Amino acid sequence: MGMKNASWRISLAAAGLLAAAPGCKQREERAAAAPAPAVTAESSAAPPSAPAPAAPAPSDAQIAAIVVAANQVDVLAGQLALEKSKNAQVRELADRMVTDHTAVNKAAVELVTRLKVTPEESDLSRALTSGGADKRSELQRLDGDAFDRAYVDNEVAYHEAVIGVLKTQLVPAAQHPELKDTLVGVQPAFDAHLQHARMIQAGLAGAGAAAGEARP
Amino acid sequence: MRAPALGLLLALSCALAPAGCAARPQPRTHHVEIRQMRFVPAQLDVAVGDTVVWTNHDVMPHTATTAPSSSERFDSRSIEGRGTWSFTVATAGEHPYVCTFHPTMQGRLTAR
Repeated sequence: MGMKNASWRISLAAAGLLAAAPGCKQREERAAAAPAPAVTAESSAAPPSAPAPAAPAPSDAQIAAIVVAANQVDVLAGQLALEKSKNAQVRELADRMVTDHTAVNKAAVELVTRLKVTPEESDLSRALTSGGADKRSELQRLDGDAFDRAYVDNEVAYHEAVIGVLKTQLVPAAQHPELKDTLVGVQPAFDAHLQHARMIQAGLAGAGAAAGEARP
Repeated sequence: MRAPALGLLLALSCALAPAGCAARPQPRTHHVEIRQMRFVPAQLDVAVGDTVVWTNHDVMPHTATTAPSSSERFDSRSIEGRGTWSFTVATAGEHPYVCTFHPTMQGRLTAR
């Protein structure tokens, strides 16, 4: 699970936007020691030892695209879980992710339209989108309990990574006060999603351990 | 002629009522904001007969639904973003409630 949880951090770190995220001390040290030019987005298969670039602060237009991509990735993962999972708790989590992240995206699009900000792709928005596609491909190959555990593990890892980016990169970089307020306003929702996913993750781990003990 | 007669009748009914008309407070309306995944205020003191209005300021839907331990029963079902829902308290006691969509969101009405 440690490797799985690390995959989103690695993926986003490859896009150069996790330098100050919690739990990324090694990256901070590398970034301080050897600032590198911007790199292209890499998938979750990127080696942990990849050099860390010093990321420029994203513009409001780039933040808009990052927010849309981040929400869309989780909507698509949730839709996949609703197709594949039969576990009531997992389906409830997936349904909640689809509903909430769709609502956040709708509000974000309304806001940037009103502010006349045109979303602009960046390394991070592209890393989110490609990382999400890679993860869905992995999940697509799993079934039953294995799918449920992998989906929920990914929800935990993804929300941890996105919350880190939100708090340390997007909120500080946002220039327009309304955009900044919106980003601050969605943080509690992401925190609640993370807690919800962790609760289910713990339940699935407990059920797995009990099943393992019951086996002869 | 009719108005003074009505006033006299009301005065008589008040005088005959042991508790007195003035002693019974008018039902009030209380407001709970749903904002950034929290009920604000999370704890609210109300009287039986008061109405509570929940207003959802978040972009995602929420519910206000009594927990199993509550002696009152209410369930807003989904309150969409910018939506409201109201409930008139009928039972005294402690009424803990949650958002069924987001289990970390919890509130409580204390009704006297």
